[in-house]
Amino acid sequence: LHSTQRQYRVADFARLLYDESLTPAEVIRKWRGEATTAELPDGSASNDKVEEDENFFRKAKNKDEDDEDRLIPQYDYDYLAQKWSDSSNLEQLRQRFATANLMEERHGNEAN
Amino acid sequence: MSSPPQALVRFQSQKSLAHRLVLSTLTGRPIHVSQIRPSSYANPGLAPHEISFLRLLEAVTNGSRIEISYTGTTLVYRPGLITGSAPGSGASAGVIRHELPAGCVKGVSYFLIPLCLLAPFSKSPMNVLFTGPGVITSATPSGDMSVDSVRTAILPLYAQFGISNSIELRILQRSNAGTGGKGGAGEVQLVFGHQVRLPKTVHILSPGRVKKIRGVAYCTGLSASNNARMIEEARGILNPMTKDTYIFSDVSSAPSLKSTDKSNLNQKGKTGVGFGLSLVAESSTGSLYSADLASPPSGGVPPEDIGRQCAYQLLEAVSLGGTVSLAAAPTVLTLMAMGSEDVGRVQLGRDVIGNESLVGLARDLKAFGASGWGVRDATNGQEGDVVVSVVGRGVGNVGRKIA
Repeated sequence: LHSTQRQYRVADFARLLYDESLTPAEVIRKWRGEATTAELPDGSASNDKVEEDENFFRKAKNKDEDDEDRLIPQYDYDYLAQKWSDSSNLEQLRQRFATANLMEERHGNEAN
Repeated sequence: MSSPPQALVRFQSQKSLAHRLVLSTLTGRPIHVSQIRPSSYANPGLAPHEISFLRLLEAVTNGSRIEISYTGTTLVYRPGLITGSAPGSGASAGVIRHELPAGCVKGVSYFLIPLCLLAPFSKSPMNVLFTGPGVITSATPSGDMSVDSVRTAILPLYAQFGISNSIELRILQRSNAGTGGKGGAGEVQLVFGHQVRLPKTVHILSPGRVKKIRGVAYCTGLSASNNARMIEEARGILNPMTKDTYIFSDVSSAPSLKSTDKSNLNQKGKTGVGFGLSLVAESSTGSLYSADLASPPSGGVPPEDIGRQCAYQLLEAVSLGGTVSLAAAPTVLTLMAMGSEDVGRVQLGRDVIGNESLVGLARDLKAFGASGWGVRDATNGQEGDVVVSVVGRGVGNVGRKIA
């Protein structure tokens, strides 16, 4: 349903922000244009029907863990290491640093 | 003075409990929180750090009433006036001593950041000494920032709101998280001496470019070489981005914990051993981005890894864009909402505003009667940045107005 929608549209966010029928996590997912159906809040696909019998014997997941406040999100450091070792990502990030050579950048843009 | 009893603002779950309590105190509206960890077998109800935070609120306010249900899963809080460290209200010689229990798993920044939000609206200056066996000054595995980052990345933000005088955060004794992530026996003193009627309306719209990076590497009860190793690794990643990178090294001995064992009172134990790194990037326009990481209480992670991961975390924080980082956004947005009745604007990265906790904050503010946020695309800065406009409530100093 939302796959055709443009991601990160600010108008969408303004609409979703105070929509009390959605949890904050759902708001974010919708805004990013990620799939919202067939997915449980913990991110696992809903194939419970098959495993319903097994579910009975499984220990209930402690959802409280997810509900604790974290000021610093839990990062996947392997992923971050990969992301920030990539030279094209670093070049893009360089725009946010004062060391970026603005003259060269402008020159490059003109040439393009 | 008599005011009609106000309707309770109702919330569920323990999510952002501390921030809701702060909003309740600032707006003067009582809250009712239910469903606090109702399905946890081991620890249902309020956790030690939350109880301790309620005690702290009681200490810095006058006339607050707190009712907790038998199981601890329901809480009613009726805020009083924010008095700060006024004489005759629990403060001795102008200092409130707040002891954190040994079972506390949250870093002391969990208490400091909300307390700083209350302090500008206090009747008299805020001066609180955090002590006891539960004070962790480092970053924690439960996602708190270190005290160093509070000092270098959160407190400077208050200057933009016209709150800048006699604010000081003293780290008297460092401590990492103790065994099992619990407790640490550090000591921290917060002096917040600048009280205002209303914070200034701000327009923070220019992210600028990162021009320098500062940091603090700390280790308690371990060799200073750990700091050197963290710094070396972090600099290796950050130096190519900006040459102006300087990381301080702070080495201290581990705090000793007085034995609670009655048979052997003289035996002292060391606690809170570990190391960590706090990094802050500052842009040409004064935007701050911070990163924090400390060694896990179980150990087994070399300092190189902490240094490297912390540096990557900083790059990630910078890449999110905007003028305010994720960790500081709740503070800035709350102060804006408490400002004069005028529209303030702040530019945020789309993954900063697009964060669960900030959506929750927007809704909480609305529940307390603040007007909704306006959002629009930013015209300058990184692509995808969003400008959030917040109308102040103009309540300002609740305490002084009523009292």
